[in-house]
Amino acid sequence: MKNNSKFAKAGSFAKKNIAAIIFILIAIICYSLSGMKPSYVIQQVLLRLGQNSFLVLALIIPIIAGMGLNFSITVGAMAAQIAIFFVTNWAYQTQSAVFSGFSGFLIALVMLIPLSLFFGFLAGKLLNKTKGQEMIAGMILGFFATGIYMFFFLIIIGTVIHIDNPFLIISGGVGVKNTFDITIASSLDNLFNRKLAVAGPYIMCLFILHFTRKINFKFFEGKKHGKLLSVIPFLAGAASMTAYMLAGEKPADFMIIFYYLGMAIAVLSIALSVYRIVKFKKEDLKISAVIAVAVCLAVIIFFQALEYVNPGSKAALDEIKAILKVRVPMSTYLAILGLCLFNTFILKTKIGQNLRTVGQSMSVATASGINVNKVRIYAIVLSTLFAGIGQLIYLQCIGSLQTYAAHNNIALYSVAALLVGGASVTKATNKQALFGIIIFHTILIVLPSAVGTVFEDAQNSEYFRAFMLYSVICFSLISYAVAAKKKKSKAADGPEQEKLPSEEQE
Amino acid sequence: MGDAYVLQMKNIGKEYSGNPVLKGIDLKVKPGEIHALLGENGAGKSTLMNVLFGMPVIHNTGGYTGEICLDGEKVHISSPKHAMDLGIGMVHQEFMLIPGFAVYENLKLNREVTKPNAVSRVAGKSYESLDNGQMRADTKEALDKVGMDLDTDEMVGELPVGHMQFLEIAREIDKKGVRILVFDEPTAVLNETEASRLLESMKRLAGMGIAIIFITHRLQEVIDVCDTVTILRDGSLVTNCQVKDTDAVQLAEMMVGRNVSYSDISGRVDKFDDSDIVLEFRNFSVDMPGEQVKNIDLKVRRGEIIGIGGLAGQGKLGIPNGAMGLYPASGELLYEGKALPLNHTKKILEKGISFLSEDRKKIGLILSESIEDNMVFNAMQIKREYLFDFKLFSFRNNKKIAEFADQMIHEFDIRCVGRKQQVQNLSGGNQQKVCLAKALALNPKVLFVSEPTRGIDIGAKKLVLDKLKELSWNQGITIILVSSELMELRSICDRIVIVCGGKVADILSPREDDAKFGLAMAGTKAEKEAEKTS
Repeated sequence: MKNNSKFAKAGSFAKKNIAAIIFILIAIICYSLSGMKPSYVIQQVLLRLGQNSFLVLALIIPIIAGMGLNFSITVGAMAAQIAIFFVTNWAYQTQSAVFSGFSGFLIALVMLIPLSLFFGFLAGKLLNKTKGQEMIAGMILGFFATGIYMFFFLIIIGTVIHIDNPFLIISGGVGVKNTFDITIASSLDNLFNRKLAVAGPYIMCLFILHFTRKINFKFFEGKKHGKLLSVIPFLAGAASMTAYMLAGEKPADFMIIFYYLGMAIAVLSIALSVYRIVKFKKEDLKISAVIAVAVCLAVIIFFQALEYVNPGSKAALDEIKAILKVRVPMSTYLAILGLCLFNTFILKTKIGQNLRTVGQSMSVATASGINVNKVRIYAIVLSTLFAGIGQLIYLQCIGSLQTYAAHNNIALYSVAALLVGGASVTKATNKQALFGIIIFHTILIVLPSAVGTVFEDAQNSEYFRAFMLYSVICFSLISYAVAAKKKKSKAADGPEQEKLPSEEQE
Repeated sequence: MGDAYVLQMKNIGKEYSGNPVLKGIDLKVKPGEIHALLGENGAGKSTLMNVLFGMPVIHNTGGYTGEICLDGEKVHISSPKHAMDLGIGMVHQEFMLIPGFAVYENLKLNREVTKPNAVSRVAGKSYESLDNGQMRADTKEALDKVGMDLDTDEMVGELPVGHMQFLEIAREIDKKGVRILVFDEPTAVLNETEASRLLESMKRLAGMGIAIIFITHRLQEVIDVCDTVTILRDGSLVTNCQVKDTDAVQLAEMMVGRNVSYSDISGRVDKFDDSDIVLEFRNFSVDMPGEQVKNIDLKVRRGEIIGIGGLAGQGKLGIPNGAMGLYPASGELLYEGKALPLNHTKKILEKGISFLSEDRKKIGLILSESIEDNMVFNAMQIKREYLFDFKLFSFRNNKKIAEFADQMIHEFDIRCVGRKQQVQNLSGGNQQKVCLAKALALNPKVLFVSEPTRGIDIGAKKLVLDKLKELSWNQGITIILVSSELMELRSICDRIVIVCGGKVADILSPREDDAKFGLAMAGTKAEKEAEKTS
């Protein structure tokens, strides 16, 4: 009986995540066809995770508010590009170090906040007038805003706003150059980064502590200060690991104690989880959490093994060394973690409940006295703001700004990544966003080489890349519509509705 | 004595653009009393409740006259929020619940219990964390009060419909200080056991001292649980009385009674019998939202005008819409003894069955097209008339179209600038005449007519009804007339079918007593009631 239900659980888990499983398979196949070096793929994926996460996570709140995929994040990206242009210009004109590096990044951030709030407010106003068609309206708004944006950079700059800067302005004095290097390149990424050999186990250890806390939480339920007790191992482990990380690139010998202390706490947490699973066999156990812990554990062991393994051949040894040396932009990841926590936090507040209510039914929300339009504008404003910050992070990582094209496909790529992670038009979580980025970009990275191997002509790869992008979006929208229709007809048959997937928030 | 009433509405009047819909209504309720509010559709019940709730629709149209007293104190209720603050609650007919939310989340919708956190101290109250534990506890308590044992974490979408009604009630109870609770037809969607549980729960609430206003069409429920009753008819007060002094027959009479003079009633009765049946419904069901038809059997005699009446939402509109295939139907529909293909509008039209829809703006007409095109559109599509037909392709026969249109405009006295005028610029009555002309262009043998006089002026009303009468009397067209106006049915029909709860409640002659119509509408057959009282 017990076994049966476990299997059923695993089956329903697979069914729910069928899209994600298909994309993982595609990624694996493409990778094995491409013949790329693992070190390169790992480095690229970690880089792009830093680049894109903020943008993708910015899509979550409008989805929860029932506004679908927010294609209008393009206007947030424009706000970021305007801010970056001015910061770069001031850096050239004043020759002051304030406008480059991390301080320049912060100045751009301060500039883009009011801009993106304003743009987001306008976008929210528009989307309130086009209820039910938010997605197409948002997309068209992006195209329309591009027109105004180009007008500003092509004509206003030079005629109304005079900028005398040969690095940025076209030689005639009117209009901004097509591409220019920005002064805040890699400013956030370089603030604090570590090589993978250190960062990998660190991040995995944090994950283990997080997931085992979820598994073990029921132990403490009902007990006095139960919630606090369950958090203690997480905090202790995380604190000691972080202390080791902050100690610098080459920490003093005794600092290694903190490292092993953190690891020990993680191992204890796992032991506790195993004990709980074996002893209680609770039905409410989250299989996804168990899988996550197992994966993280495997990764840590893998890293530890790599340090000592000697494959014999020189090429393999070099490859291992290359993997261990990949830089991980910890500061960017920290910003991403911040947004994840914000998304989780907001849903547990009054305003988050309003967002969810509006997302479920605008008419019921209105009847219960919620100002639906205000809530929807709030969602779009937040999303636009985060998209602006996301584009800032993206561009500092790229290092140069394509003035007229940088924002063009931002929304499409972000949406596709989110959908690959298993999100839909009405449901999205942080987990799906991050997971989707990893899988989607892995495919994008290995696709050119894979295509080159199969067709012996790498030029096809651009075609496949675009095809992949649009087919992901199309596939997801259709499968969502089909599922919604099925649910509707089922509801019409009788009051017993299909069990709605419970809201999982991580 | 007056102070014992928790709610007194005195001499309430309300006009919509000079058109009085409420005239001098009085209503008084004591704490712990269940007060029934009865009346047909359009009698003014909802307007009266809108006044009580301070709905914007009242204030935007010039407010009301008369006064409302709560606990003897005069109040002016300015908004639904204000009404809520004063302790007036409403259990809606349609559920204001979110299927994807748990029971406790629905119960606390927009009244969530929150506790401050670090962020909210800076950013404001709307960032306070939800206190799910407290919300669950409150929910449990409110559910106990209505006598319902439910898991607070269950998704509402998985609950049976009957439970949702209790949730709505629990939500009102959970609002602190509720003194008056209005139930708007709460038993309409419930089955018998659920309904009796609900009535139990109402009694329990009344026992706690809450005054209840109970809007219903089921007279038996009034007799069973109510203490006092107010009956409205055409915006006027018929009576305030004690339920124990009356019975279901009397109530029905007071609801419907209009002292009909016999000259208004159709003069042609008993000319038809079951020997010549043109259309027969067998075990016929229609899935039309809000107008479900459940397994009816009905024979339509050739040449008669048969009326279908009943209260809104009981399924009378479902019959013509289902028969024409506009909403999914099941069962059997026999035409001239042969089964018609269900859910296949074109084939049904081809057989010579035509339909004048109650929704003339969406289904009856193409608003942006001309009068003549609207009139002949179906005939061109179905019968391929008014065309030069070259088989592979065809042209409009403009001359024939013009002839027909002009003839119809003349015959029906359609007020327009010409047959090319767009129908959206016509008045409702003239639009309805165009619809009728369109139905006639098909030369139908059977004509379904649904709410032909809704929203049109008296002159046009008379013309439309006279025309229908003429079609049947002179041309022998069988007409199935669906209308919510009983008087209209009685004036031209040969027989009247009253539907209730998607089933045929009774088939009556237009000459029957008012009380019989009233009881049939309320779902109680007259004979049964007679047995009970004797």
